Amino acid sequence: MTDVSVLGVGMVPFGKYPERLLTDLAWPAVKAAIQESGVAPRDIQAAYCGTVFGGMMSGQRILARVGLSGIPTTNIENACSSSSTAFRQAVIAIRSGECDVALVIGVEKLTKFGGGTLPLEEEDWEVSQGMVMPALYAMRAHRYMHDFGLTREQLAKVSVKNRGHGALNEDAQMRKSVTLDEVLASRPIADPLTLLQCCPTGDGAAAVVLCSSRVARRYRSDPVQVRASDLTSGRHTGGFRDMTIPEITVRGAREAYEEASVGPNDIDVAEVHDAFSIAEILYYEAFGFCERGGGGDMLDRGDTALGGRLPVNPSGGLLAKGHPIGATGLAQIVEIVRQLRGQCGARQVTGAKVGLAHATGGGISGFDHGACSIHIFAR
Amino acid sequence: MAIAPILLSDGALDIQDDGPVLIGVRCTSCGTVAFPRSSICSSCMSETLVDEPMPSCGNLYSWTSVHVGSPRMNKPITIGYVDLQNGVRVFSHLVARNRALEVDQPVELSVAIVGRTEEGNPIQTFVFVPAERRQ
Repeated sequence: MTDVSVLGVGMVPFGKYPERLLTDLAWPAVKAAIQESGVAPRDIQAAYCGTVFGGMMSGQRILARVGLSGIPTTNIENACSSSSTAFRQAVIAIRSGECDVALVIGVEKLTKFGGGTLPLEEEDWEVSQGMVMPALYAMRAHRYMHDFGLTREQLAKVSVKNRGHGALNEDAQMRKSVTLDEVLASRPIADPLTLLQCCPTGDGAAAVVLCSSRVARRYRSDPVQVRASDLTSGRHTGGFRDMTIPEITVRGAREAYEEASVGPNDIDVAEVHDAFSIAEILYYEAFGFCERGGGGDMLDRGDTALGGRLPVNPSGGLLAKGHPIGATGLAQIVEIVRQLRGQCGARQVTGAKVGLAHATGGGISGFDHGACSIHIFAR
Repeated sequence: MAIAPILLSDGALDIQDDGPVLIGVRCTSCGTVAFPRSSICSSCMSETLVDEPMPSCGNLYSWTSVHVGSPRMNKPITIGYVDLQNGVRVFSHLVARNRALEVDQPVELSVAIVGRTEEGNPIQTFVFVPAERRQ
């Protein structure tokens, strides 16, 4: 099986661009990734575009802007894992020998909804009864606090940490640090989650050029290797489930570690799906970064802050960098690739050699989440 | 003039003389019980399902008060997951009735107005409330 390398990455700073068309939001990321890759546009053999609300033929619309028409283009919707799922499809295509060079795009324009919580599928039973994403995460938080004694202050520390990281990232939507008191005093959204413990709504795009490792060094001297590319779907149950265990991520983590032949102690830097503060704590455990119930202590010790034992979300994560859902997974990959190349300046994780990106989501009845895609990279 | 309430949980809630009851299904082939109703068994694909009344008591697995979401709902809306005695978990609105809601608290089925449509019609649905007696 052919190994896969990342040649070029690009993204536009996440933020609010209500006046921009989706295509105009995305093409600067595409152009940046292609230019950085060293690949001639005519050498790109396939394209994959992840978006949830971008509409019909998003990939073709974007690629037409930059003259990349006529190549097989696949549009992928998988909730918050859309563009990481698109990335995985490109990895599969290259591994199989179907193509040598592929382009992946992630894009989303959430400002078109005018604000409020993420629109969910109204045909879903729980959504029809009033479920919204902050409520789902708040219930996880409530139960976790009950079972493990996590405090409101420990929960809020996730936001303080990630907003601090985001202040160092010029691609982040939220660039101001916040204090613990500010997080706790921000307006209630879904108890115990306050506003600053919820990812902002915004727009954004990211793009990656990847290729067969066989040809990678023709284009760059420092390609980053894809060591694991994993996708899991949630297991449905109408019965009881422990909401403090994100089962879809637990299974995905196990598969990804096995594929990459690494374990949690080998990870130098991770971008995990912190859509809400509690999520990051659950994922520390799911990835084996700490023992069960140990997430709060990890935050108290500063283990996952820049300069700590295992920096998590150095980009600022979804809480600070932002969460234009179809672009999120690929933007995490952009950050990990830049970290492994040592290009992250003030937020650089010193000596990072192995990095992990994790995007999961999809609020539907009977699932922990609908989809989860995990990638492990190494240099 | 009273305006007829809109039932949010149409098809899942039966309001009988002696109180409300949630109606799910039981698969006659493999015995799986599910809520709400479905036309196919999610365990064995059998389409031979019969109506199954759900127990009206359970324990509150987790809950939250939500200040965002549909403008039709009263704010904050209080919602949670109730674990029923037959092994089914139900997503439900909650009414605390001046009592503090707690994780693992026994709760029982009731009916309440939880919001209002754009036209002003009350939105009614099933809710769980703290149980009067310890079970």
